[in-house]
Amino acid sequence: MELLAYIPLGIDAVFGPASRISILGVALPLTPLMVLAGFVLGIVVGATPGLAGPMAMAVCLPILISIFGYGADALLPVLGFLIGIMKGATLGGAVPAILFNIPGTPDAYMTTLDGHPMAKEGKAYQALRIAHLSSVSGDTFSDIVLIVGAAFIAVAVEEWLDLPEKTALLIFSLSFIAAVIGSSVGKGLIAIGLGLFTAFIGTGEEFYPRLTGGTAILAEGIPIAAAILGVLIVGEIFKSLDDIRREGIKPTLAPQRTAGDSGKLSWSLLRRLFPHIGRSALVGTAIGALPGIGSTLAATIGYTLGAKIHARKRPFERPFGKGAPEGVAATEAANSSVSGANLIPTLSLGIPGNTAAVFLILAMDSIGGFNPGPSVFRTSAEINPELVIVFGLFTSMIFANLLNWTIGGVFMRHIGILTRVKKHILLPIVLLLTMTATYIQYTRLSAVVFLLFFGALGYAMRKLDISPLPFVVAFILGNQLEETARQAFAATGGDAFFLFNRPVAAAFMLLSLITIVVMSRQRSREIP
Amino acid sequence: MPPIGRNRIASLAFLVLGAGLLALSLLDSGSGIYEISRRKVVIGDALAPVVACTFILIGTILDALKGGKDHSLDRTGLVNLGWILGVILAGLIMMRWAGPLAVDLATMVGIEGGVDGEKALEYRTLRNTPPWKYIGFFLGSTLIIGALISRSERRLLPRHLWLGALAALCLIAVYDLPFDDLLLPPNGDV
Repeated sequence: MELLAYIPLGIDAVFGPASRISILGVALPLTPLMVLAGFVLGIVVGATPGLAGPMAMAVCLPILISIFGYGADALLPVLGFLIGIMKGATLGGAVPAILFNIPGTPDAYMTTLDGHPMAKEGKAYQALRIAHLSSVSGDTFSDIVLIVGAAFIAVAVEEWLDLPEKTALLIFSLSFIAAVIGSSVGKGLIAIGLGLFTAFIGTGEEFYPRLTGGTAILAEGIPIAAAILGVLIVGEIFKSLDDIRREGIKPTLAPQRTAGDSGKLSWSLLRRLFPHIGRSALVGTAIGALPGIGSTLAATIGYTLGAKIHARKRPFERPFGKGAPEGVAATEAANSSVSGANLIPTLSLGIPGNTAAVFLILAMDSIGGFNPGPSVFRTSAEINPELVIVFGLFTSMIFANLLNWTIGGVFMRHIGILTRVKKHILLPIVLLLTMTATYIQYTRLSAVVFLLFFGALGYAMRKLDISPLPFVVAFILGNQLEETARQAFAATGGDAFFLFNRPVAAAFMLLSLITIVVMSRQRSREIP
Repeated sequence: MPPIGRNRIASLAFLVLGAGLLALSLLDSGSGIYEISRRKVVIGDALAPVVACTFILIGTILDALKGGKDHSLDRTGLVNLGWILGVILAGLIMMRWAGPLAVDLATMVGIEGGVDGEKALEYRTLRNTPPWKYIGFFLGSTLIIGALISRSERRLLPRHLWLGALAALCLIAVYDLPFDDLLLPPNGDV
């Protein structure tokens, strides 16, 4: 079957009769309902400072698996829900940033710079409408690039890259992530090394499970979800609780709004915004397509670029940082356009693009029946069920975008009250939710102990300015890297230089070295 | 002599950690970096962890050469982390043992089994029976949430425990009531 023939199959997997459930006697498609539920939850979570999309994804995953089980039928409803959270949280993050000067999610920080001054001037609704329009436009553009681009990349990888090249590509991805994420290249490499080492515990080809010291608790390997949730979620909670203890509890702020703020966007304003939205959507999508680089960097680059062009082209108008509507548009379009593009490396290479993608991979790994990577795009005479899932996923994303365009703005403008939820009360509850979710998945207290251990590690990494994302990506890719390297070594007849004597593999290795060296030198110059 | 900066201490710690893990990789992998199997050279189980340790060591050296401002891991942070972990540990101990203790107590006073010469009940047989299955989770969760909120507010109020209890009840409602096959902590271990 050809690739395009999977489009109707994907749509049918989401909306078709086989995927419907009966609610009050009415047959409704399950996956779109799950996307809607996830989307609403995502907006709520994004609008609540201290919470983030990945936290909601983490605590919901075990519940979703309990409801839907481990069959292939479970994949689309579960992934649809998680995608809904991912998209909703990006949108919701702008609400407290504009109304209260508190970024709901880290990538909404730049939104505060112009959004909150607008709110203080009584244009809160207008700022929210601009954020909504920009966010949804960026997101939609990014999804289109994903749908068109992922398949081509995967097919190219499958067509041109053999085992040595795939090994080199994985090494290049890890080097790139180490080089660009976090405060320094050295710290990125440390995080990658720790992540790889953790992945290798209790695994290997020998009968003896390596690196376990003969202990039974390590012999089965490190529980994947416990390690990921520990470093990403629990570590962040520990750090936030530490910050609250040091800085005290901040008072709840009153929203800035005036009665006459209808929020309507005039055509002349829209014409001023569109170039910023378009530019930032391109920047965010390009950045999102690179593994490991998150929406915060995209927002920063989109904003900075927009500010420079705005200052040059419209020097007499309100500058960025002083309540310019263009500033809100540039930031929101950039950070939202990362989410779709981040799934390009996730689906086509099996390399998680950001934290949200880590949880999508975790869901795929937990449920089974779908192994992200170039092979899922393989076409043959028979139907490839994994490719049907991919197109079902694309359909779910388009549906989520429709929700975003239609009801997203309405939700967004009515959830400002969530900012009054106290962070110091919410965080211990989220901690317990995460602990319970982990226990339910593994049904043993040792998994919770692992979760807390990796939480402490995540806390220490944050305090030492080491980004936890390279650790998690290396942890996820570690065993795949080793397996591919073993196969490549065997396939080349035990050639110890298999990474260097084939042009494409050697090019990837050279790129790895160049990335590390160049970024090291560049970042050394940035040190004050 | 100026005091050693925090970054230097961290670099030294990572150097020791990297070297230690490297030694562990070579000694505790079940095979070497490479092996000869049926007259063919194959990759041994030690190679991958050795590569991981090399990343740690190279990263440490690069980071130490880079310099820059000190990191923020300080004594206050470690005390706070220790306190949080201590509270969670106390909560987990309560989760693990409150249920069995409650069953023992009930057996002793004759509320549940153990009377008139009947065989005394064990928690294990009641771990999926309300209210016994909720006791440990409820008390442990209340303790963890209440203690962490009171630590942030720097005072202990009954309201904190009520909030903890309410959150624990909500978690029971979310995770346990709709699902027959899910086991709340610690019921999978007992």
